[in-house]
Amino acid sequence: MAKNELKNQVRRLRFENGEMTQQQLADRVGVTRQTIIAIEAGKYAPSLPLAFRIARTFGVQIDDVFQYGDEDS
Amino acid sequence: MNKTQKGALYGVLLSFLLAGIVVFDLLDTIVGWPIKLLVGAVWGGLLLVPIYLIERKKDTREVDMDERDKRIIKKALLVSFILLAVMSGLAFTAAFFVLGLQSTIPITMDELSAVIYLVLVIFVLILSLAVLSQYGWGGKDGEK
Repeated sequence: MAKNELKNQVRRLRFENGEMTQQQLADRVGVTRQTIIAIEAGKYAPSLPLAFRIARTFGVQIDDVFQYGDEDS
Repeated sequence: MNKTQKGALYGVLLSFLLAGIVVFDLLDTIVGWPIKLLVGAVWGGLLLVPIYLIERKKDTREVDMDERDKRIIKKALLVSFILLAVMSGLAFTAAFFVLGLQSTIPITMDELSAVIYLVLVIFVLILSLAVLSQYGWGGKDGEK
């Protein structure tokens, strides 16, 4: 099993959505800014409900934000 | 640094303060109980200061604790209980080999309370260090 299977586009999507700050995203999905930092850095895999909240905040599908395994972004 | 990290740092401080109480507890014959009571009251006051500082700047709009913090605390608690159980097992095994199964040892209430304090100190210290290590040392949490 490969390590760090979960990739994400959170940082890119933040900038594409009016250069949203980490704090703004954190407030909108109900977590701390440290958690957003950890998710962007690939250090923390969010729960499914949180992943959905992030995707909905950006107005995209969940697999546009998170990719598992060898999938391309 | 979020509230959980601050709490863990406070836990490290608390464990050192509790270690101080253990030392004073064992120094009963030297200082006597009135002085110990005074020292205990001062320590009690000192323990409240970090709680005030952590709680003071609370912004109700900002999230204090989320799923990641809860997961970190849960894992740290598990590690702490396991390590405490292992250490207790080792201590009992060592006592068994040194003293034997049928031996008895005299112990004063001071020494007994010191042992109980010491267990609390070790637990708080392990828990706090386990929390801090999961956030990443330095408290910046990978921030760029």
